[in-house]
Formats: sequence, structure tokens, C-alpha cells
Amino acid sequence: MGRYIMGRLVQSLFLLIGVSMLTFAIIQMAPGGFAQMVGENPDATAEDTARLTALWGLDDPIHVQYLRWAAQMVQGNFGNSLAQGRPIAQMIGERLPATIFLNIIGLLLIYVIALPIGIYSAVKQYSKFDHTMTFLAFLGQAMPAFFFAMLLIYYVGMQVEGIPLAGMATIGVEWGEVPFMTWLADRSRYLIMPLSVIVFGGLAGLVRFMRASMLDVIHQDYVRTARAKGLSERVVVFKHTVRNALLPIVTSLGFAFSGLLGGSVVIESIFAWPGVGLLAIQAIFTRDYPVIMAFNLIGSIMLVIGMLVADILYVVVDPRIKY
Amino acid sequence: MATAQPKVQGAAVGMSPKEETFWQLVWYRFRRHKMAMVSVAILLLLYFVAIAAPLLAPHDPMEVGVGPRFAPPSWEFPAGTDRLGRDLFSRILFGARISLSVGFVAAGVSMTIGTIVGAIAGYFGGIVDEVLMRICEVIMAIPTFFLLLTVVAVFERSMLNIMLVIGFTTWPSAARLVRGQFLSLREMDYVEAARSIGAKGGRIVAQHILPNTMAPIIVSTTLRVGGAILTESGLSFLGIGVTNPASWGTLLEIGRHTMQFAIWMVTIPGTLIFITVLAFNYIGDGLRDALDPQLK
Repeated sequence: MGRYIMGRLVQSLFLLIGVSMLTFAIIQMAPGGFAQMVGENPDATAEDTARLTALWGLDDPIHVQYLRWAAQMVQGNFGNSLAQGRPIAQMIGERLPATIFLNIIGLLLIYVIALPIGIYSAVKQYSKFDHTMTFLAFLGQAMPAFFFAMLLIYYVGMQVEGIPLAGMATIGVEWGEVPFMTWLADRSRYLIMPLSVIVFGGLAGLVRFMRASMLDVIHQDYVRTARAKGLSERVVVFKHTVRNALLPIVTSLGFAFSGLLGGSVVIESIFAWPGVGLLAIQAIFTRDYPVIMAFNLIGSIMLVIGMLVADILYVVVDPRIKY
Repeated sequence: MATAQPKVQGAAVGMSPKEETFWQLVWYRFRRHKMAMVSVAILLLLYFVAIAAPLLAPHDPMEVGVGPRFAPPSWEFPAGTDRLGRDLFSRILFGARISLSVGFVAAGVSMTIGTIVGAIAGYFGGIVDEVLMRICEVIMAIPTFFLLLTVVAVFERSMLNIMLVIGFTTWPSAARLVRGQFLSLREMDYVEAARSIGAKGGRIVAQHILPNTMAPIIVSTTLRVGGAILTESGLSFLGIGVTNPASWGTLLEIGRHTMQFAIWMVTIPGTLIFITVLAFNYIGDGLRDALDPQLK
């Protein structure tokens, strides 16, 4: 087990080195680069451009530039934003809690709602409930999240009083400054819209996945044996089937989290949720390359950690797998 | 003897009227999937409309002031008009050309690269396989949407570039699919037989292995078309998609700002994206059932 985890850690490290190289390479393909952006400034003279090129080491060979950048990254120094001039680590650090807050609640709700539906669908395969849910899941997978968000804003948000359509909190309602219940009520109101869209977006896929995984297990011989020896349906389903059917779902958790991170770019920009997604889209518009590079790296670090945790969990929860 | 023979022939005729090819069987099974057939009809209509857009559009999609501003859908303007009094019906017809072709080209690029890389990795195995699969893993380790946004930020946002970017960021999953198929097929007895009678590598791949990987490739391509349309509309919605002429996603993005009094500017393009993606998913589902009945 220890050796397995070590092996996977080393593998993840190489993966992240690959990611940093790819990200660096894509940004290098940008026409012009930093120095030329200064050149677009009408007040900048040729000397200014040359001075900045020398200052930033832009005339060094490409591998020297990469290594210099990578060495900074390893030390946790993501550099400064071109647009705001502030340290990127600080900018992302400020925004991360809002995104994680939204996504963790979203992820929890998705699993709490989707798993029972998937399980029940599979147990009652081809029933009216199963057909309806499968159909709805199919519709859900084809529905663009932003279109769903627009419809929700128009038909619910604009009709019902007291549902905020943008932001995360009312100004002045801060933790510790108002009674806890007031704080909780305020945060909950702001969560309604973005959370509904996140949950809607993740639900369909997971229901189908859970149902398929359940059906795989339910047709196994040992489930038939359990039935044959007269165990109650409840014991067969919950003790023998669900526990095994949940194994592949555990693996999906790692991907689910980083998937939400990408999806929250759209949701945060619709609801002006002050998280990293909103920052990412601003960076794209201003071509703030250092910020974009930092995003790719942080995104992949989260994905790689997610996969690593999922793999280890898989070994822990499934005694059939030994390393 | 003379009397028995027609009987036998008659029985044979009753069982299978004529030699059925693989594709006839597929078509026969596909036809039974009602939703998939409905989807084919809807998509044929949409593609016809997209191709014939210049003939069908009542107005120039860019012409300002052909009607009042923000006119709701009516007989004169079936999809209403926008902030500048442009005819939305015409804009949607021309937008169909963008949205529908982005899907096909992006899925084509993704699947072509994926199939070539996957075939090379799966057929040669060993160090070639190792290197190619590590490259796939690196690309897949960046959250897809972030990778997309990065590339979009770097390159010019033309229609062709958007298609290529979606294709270039999604091929690794296709490569893994094809590689898996190749790995198992390459060990099959009939491939060994072909090799033993002296068939060259290229011939084995093209004649013996590739045709047998067609079923998952076709299904995956169909689903990718829907996925690419969804991705393009997502980029457009963020304001970084195809804008000239406007794709359905861009039309929706324009409409969202005046949603309070012109909701049709959101619902009509949005519903069209939804229906198109749904249709491709249903066709993919139908094809999976038809191509490989064991898969279900």
C-alpha cells in the first residue's frame, strides 16, 4: 500500500511537470507576447520595449525561460498579474473560498439527490419511475447549463421576491457582526440560484452512472444467491448490491470536483459569484497570461489530487484490490 | 427428390429473403429506436434549413431596422426582432450554419486525431504506446474548460479556430477509446492468421482491425458532435465564441441582457441548441443499440 501510494505520487508529479510544459508552450504561441503588449502602448518607445524584454528575460532561450518560470511556481510564487499588478497567489487565494464553498455544497447535494434516484431506478428497472428518470436524465444532459440558468432567472428569480440574482452576500452582513441566523439566512438566499444550476448540471450524468453501476452488480451471481437463500429484498439491495455498486462512484468523485471547477466559470459569470471562475474569465478577456497559466496549474493540481485520492479510496473501500 | 427441393428452398426464403449485409441489419435495428428516428428527421430539417438559409431568410440577418425594436414573435417576424430591429428569424437561420457546422468539424478533428494516435499506440504498444498515452494524460489532466479558455485566449477567435480548438482539446479520450479496441483486437486469432500469411502491418490495420473498431468510433463521434455544439455555445455565452455571423450561443448571449422584456431572444436560440444536442445524443444511443446489440 505504501509503495503503491509512493508510485502514484511520483506519477502525479511527472504529470504536473507535463502540464506545466504544455501550458507554457501554449502561451508561448501567443502572437507578440508581453513585450509587444507594452509596444501597443502609444507612449512606449522602442527603448522601453527593449528594456522590458531584457528585464523579463524574454530574449533568453526558451528552455531557460521555462525553467525560470517553473522554479518560481515550485516555490509557490505565481508572479504578478499583468492587468492588476498584484501577486497572483494573493488574487486566487481571496477568491478560492467562495468557489470551494459553492462547489462543495453543490457536490454534496448532487450526490445526496442522484444516488437514491439511480439506485431506485435500477432496482425497479423498466418501471414507470425508471423510464421517467432515464428520460429526464437524457433531457438534462442535453440542456446547456447557461440556458437553464437564464430560464430559472426569468421564470423564478424575477417572479419571486427575495431571491438575489447576483453576488454572494448583502453588504454589511458579515460573519460575527450579525446574529448567526441572520448571516445564515442571507447566505442561503444568495445560494438558491447558483446552487440550483450547479445541482441541475451534475444530476443527470450521475443518475445514469449510478443506475448503470447498480444494474451491473444486480445481475451478478452472488446477488442471485443472496435472493435464493431467502434474504429480504432490503438486505439484498442495501447490503449486497449498493455497497458494491458505489465503488465506481467513489472513483468519479475526483473528476467531479475538477469538473465543477470548470463549470463554475459559466455559473460564476452569470450570477456574479465572486469566485475564481469569475477571475478566470476576466483574465481571458484581458489576456492576463500569467493568471491564465496559474489557473491551468491549480486546476490540474486539483484534478490530479482528486484522482489520487479517488484511487487510494478505491483500494481502501474495496478489499478485493490488494497492492 | 424433385418435390423435396422446392420445399427446402421455400424454407430458406422464409427465413432470410436475401443475403443481408451488416449495414442493412444495422439500419433495421436502428429504425426500431423511435426517438433516434425522430431525431434524424429533426436534424435533416435543421441542416436543410441551414444550407438553404440565404433562400429561406426573409431579411438580411445584419440589416438594421427591418421592423420595430423588440417586436415579439408574430406572423411577420416569426422569431421577433432585437434591439436594433433586426429580424431574429433570419439571424437564427444563418446562426444554424455556424452552430451545426462547428459540431461536425470539431467532432471530426477530435475523432481523426484520436483514431490515428489511438491506432498507433494500440498497434505498436511498448514505448510508443507509453509515450502517446502519457501525452494524453497530460492534456486530460487540465480541466477541459480551462484548457479551452487558455487556447481561445491565445489565438484569434475565428470560426475555424473555435472548431480546431474544441477538436484539439478533446481528442485524448478518443485516442484512449481506439487504443483499447486495438489492444484487444490485435491479439485475436484472425489477426494472427493474417500476419502468418504474410500480411503487412498497414494492411492488417486498415483491412482487419480498423473495420472492427468502427462501432464505438461511430457512436463516440455522434455524441461528440452534440458535445462540441454544447461547448461552442458555452464559449459564445461567455462572449468568446463565433460572432460574425452570430451562432445560436452568441444570439442567446446578446438576448440575455434584455431578457426582462424580450425573453424570446433567449428561449428560441436556447431551445434550438437543446433540441439539436438532444437529437445527436438520441442518435448516438440508437446507433449504439444498432451497431452492437451486446453493448446494452
